[in-house]
Amino acid sequence: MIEKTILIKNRLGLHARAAVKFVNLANRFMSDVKIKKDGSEIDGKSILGILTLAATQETVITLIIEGDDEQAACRALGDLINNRFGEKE
Amino acid sequence: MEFTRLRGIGVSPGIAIGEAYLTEQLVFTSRIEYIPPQRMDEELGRLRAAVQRTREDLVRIREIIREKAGAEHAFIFDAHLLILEDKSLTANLERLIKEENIRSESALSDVHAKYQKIFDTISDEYFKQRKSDVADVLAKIYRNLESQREENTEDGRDKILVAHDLPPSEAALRLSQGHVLALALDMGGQTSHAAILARSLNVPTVVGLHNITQRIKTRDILIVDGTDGEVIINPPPAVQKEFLSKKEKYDVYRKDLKKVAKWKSTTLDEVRFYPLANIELPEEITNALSYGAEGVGLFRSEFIYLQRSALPTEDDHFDIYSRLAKKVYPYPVYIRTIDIGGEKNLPQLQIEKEPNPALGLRAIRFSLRNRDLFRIQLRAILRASVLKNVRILIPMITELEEIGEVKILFEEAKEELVSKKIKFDPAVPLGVMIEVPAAAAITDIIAKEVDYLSIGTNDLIQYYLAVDRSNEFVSYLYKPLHPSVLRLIKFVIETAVKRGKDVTICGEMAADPLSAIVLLGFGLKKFSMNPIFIPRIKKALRSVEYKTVRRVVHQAMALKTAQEIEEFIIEKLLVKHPDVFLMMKATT
Repeated sequence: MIEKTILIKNRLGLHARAAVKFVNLANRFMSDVKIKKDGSEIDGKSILGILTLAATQETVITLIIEGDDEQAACRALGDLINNRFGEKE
Repeated sequence: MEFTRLRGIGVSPGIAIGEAYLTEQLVFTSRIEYIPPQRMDEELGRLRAAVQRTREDLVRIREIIREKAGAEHAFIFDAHLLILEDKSLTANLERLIKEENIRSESALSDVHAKYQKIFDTISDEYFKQRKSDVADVLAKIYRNLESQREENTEDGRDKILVAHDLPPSEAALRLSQGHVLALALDMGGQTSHAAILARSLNVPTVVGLHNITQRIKTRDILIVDGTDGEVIINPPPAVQKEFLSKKEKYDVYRKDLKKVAKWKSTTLDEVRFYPLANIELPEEITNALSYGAEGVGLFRSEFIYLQRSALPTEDDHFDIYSRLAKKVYPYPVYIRTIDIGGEKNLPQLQIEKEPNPALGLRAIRFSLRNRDLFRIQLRAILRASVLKNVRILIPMITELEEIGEVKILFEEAKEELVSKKIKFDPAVPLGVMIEVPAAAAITDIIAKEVDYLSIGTNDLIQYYLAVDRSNEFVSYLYKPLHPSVLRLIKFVIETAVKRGKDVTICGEMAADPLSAIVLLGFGLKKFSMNPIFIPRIKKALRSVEYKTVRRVVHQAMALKTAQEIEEFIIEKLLVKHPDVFLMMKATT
């Protein structure tokens, strides 16, 4: 199991468009993906979970990934967030 | 058969006769219906089939929207598909059916209520509003539980769509599928998104009918008269016949307009003029071109903000502008940066109400205060300029310093794109709107600093005459032909022409035949207006001699009142061109 703490940098946060990208990427890995924010933990492959997390800009979230391809999944998902989901700002 | 006439507001002209299709406002049930345990598998099968049908619908709709409205609008269906596939959602639904033995309808309603509650606890407004996406998906499944779907509008038959209201995404979806003969809504006004879209797609539409959804049933026969704002329910044959002949006349009239659109835009003495279109949505272009527009003289970009709940990204802007530029090519498109603030509020930014919005923080004043938003817009416009037919237009300039600040930001945006090796047209013309009288009075100074000018006559006249024309007590004072207004506009046009700068008018004056002739007399060649007025302006300008108009208009400038000017011009032009105003009458 890997835990990785990341800051949401893009202006819109984990909004619907970003959430679509996140879920689609997470679904490409076998590992379980969880996202923790404050006290709550949600399934990272559930768009409803992500939207109800309401992670705005400057939110700190923790990815908890467990499975055979956890290393690769963690790197890919971390990159997606750090690259602002491909958004300009 | 009962026969009723309903009055509303006609927002898209034309007449249609056909079967009604009522889009029901789905109300989730609060009643819990149980199923016998032995029917559980059957019920699960019913739910799964509905989910599968919904998936197929969403995929199909996504492709239609992608093709007709652009990837920008299609994205929301990706989100809806993921919601549909969300394990927490399906697991919840199936658990309710298996463990509580309730019908799928009850399960969907239960899950709907649960999610609405969860989203309601979120304080961020954007995330809170995502509850409507969940509701939308659940409602689609709900509707698909009925395997008999012949009542669906998507069955390929042409129908008249009747609804309480059509939110933007729904309007784009329903109307772009092409099977809507006409539209009749309880709610709405001239500028609702549905009205704009209907006009641009030539779908006759009447809105503001209050309760038509309660007065008709699906399959009732309706006549929708979008020209006169009337809907007739179950008309007897005699009335149907009457409207069929009205429809024929209208169709002939439209064909006639299209003919005018193909004529050359020149005066009798071969002076070329250019009719341009004022539009708000890229979807309006096809229609504008069919009316004879030779470009878009005003694209009101604020609609990009008003259409969505989150702030648009640079790519959102870019997607729209580049679609626009491609559709208009080889003609030009003038993209006006947002004219927001005042009464046109941005839902995303919670702008404070001002005591005097017309004189407040709006247009370029707003953009210079919200520079990040402005930079995004400038970059997106530049990126969309690769076909070299895009211009930038800055609204509400008051003083020279504002132009200086805009230019710095504009150059920065260009440098940024250069450093990122993104292609754009380095010669994108930068122009300003002349709508504040103070700017009009220094046209000679401003003209040196910009590539072109565009006169916004609506605001200019309102500010110059100090008249709010929506105020019934003073609106009689709003006179575009007031000598002072004409002197000011003459000064702006002549100064621009003298300095070799391109000048356009994009207010209602350009759409009024007499005013347009006066403007031509000042030397104006570019007239931008609501596209439906282009044919009549073309007819009017084609029927006069530039030489004569110039002489008559210059003589008229010595007169004392708007009325004297109007009478003088009509009289003098009638001598030379007896058919000018006759033609105007026939087309108005």
